[in-house]
Amino acid sequence: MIQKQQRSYSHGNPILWIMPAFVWLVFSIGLPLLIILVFSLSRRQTYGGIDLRFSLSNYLRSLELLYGLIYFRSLGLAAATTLLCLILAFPVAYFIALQRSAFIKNFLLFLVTLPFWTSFLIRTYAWIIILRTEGLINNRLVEWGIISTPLNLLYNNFAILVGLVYGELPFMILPLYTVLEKMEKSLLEASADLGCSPWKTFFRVLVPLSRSGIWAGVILVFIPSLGAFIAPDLLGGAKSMMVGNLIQSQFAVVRDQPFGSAVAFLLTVVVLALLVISYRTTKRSAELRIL
Amino acid sequence: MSAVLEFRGLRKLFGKQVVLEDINLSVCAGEFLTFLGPSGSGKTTLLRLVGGFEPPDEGHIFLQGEEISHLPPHKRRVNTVFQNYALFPHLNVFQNIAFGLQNVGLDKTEIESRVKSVLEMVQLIGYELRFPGQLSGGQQQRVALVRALVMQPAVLLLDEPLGALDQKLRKQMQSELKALQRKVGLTFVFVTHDQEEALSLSDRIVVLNQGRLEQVGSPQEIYDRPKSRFVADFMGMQNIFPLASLQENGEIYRCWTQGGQEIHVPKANHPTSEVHFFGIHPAKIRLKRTPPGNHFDNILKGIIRQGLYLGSTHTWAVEAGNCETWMVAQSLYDSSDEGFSLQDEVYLCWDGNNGVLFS
Repeated sequence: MIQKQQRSYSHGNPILWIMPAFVWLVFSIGLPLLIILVFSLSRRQTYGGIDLRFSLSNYLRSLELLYGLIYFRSLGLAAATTLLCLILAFPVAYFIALQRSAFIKNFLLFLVTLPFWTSFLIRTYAWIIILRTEGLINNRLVEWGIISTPLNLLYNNFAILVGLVYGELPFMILPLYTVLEKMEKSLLEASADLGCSPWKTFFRVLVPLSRSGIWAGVILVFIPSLGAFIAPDLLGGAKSMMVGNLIQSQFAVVRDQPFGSAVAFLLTVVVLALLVISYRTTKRSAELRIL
Repeated sequence: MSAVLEFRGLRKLFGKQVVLEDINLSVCAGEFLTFLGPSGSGKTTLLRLVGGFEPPDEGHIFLQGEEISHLPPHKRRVNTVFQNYALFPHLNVFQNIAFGLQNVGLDKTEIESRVKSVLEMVQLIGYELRFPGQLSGGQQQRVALVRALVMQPAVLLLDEPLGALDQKLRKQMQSELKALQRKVGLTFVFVTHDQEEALSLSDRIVVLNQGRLEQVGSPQEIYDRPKSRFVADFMGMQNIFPLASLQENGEIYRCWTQGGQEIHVPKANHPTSEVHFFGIHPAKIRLKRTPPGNHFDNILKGIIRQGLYLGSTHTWAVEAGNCETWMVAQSLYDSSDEGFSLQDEVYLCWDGNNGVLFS
């Protein structure tokens, strides 16, 4: 009797409900990944075709020092992007979360998501106009006599960083906002009441309590930054290739699909490994809390 | 007694709305003072002004003789027990209590011994490693209390700390709280809207109404001698009648209610101020079946219209005079009282001292 009643409340078999997502995942992620794995273990034919005989040569080549530099730069830029986003997003998220009026809150969140209305490609082009030698910033600086010759703001790592931070910032603001919004505001008063200066409160209460939001934001920003392609392609110079561009050029320019696949697969493995590590650490801290 | 906390001419606005006005008050060292009032009376705001969470718009707050009106919360020697406890969910009981002590810069062993001593005080030894989410409401309440107590503040502020507890636990925590205050000898400033709680805990009660001090006095004064209709009403005085006229007659006032009843009240308790109302608590009136002679200063004849059985008392609504309803609470454990039923003709009697006149 009870069993029957419970079933009527649970809206049928849960397996059925996740089927669409499951099918989508298999065809859009599982299958392509499998193809990439197969390609990465094959050889390149002279005119760019794929020779399906097994080989590890692509992976060995991907570990060469030349490419190591690109990975290193990608990791560095992604890490810098994540850190900058975190520093910039926290005050913004905190400010929005503290608003009392629901209307203002929603309006500010709307502003945060407003950039999504335009394609990232177009927004990145806009940065070219802002940063280039004859661009918005340089022209003003020269006009006001602050500098005499224009600065090199475009086509370097700095420009990539600007583009990445700009593009990823909302993905840091939103999860941080979610945790800060849910946080009991009287905890901040309690902290001040017990003798914490605002800075101490930030590190002893605010940061620990927003840990889950920080992790979510870090993952949401770091992973896309690591594989970024548009920002480094448009804003970066010849000497600032990132791993995303390396993969793209293997497929579209050099036509070495097996090598491109190997790098792409390595990137996926690294990202997955990072995800597992972060999951483990957050899980452990959650377990400690229950202990 | 010396004043540990003092308000002078305090005024607070939220936008254009006046939340507190003309607050002048001294809190004595070691006393249990209660701000009592309905919601919106400004009692919590007044407490938050002391804690430093809101700045006053006018006036001054002094703590141990020093002005603290605009000092940030972390620089004030007061601590707060918050209404929702505000325990840090990411810290266990020990860490929660040690939180403030770490800011003072005490060494580890000192912190441990202090935390242990307050945990002993509230019988929570053994709960050090639990997190707030694993505690019952009463336990959380105790942790919140000792987290503030352990700081040995000049004044401990309590913002309706028992509000979230159920009736039984609430009564128990009330007596624990009172015992604790006597033991540690700290000054407690307590906020509540529950007049019974205020009466049972306080050395002194401050009744607030629409941001103003309505009356300040001991629980007995507030209960027995309210100075205004508001206080009388708020303290559960169910019999309040507007006066039609009033005459001085030697040692007593002769007053007439608008229903035409003549009432005598001794002059001694009501010096000069203007009075408009007569009031008396239901429990201070006795019901008699026959005229009781000259034992009482006031005797009214009436008819019982309604009865409400409340366990230890029986409350009767008695119609007397011109359609005036008097509430009488009859103790069911007093053998001298008789049993009554609806439509009985009865006599209401009370000593003149039990009635009060107020504005």
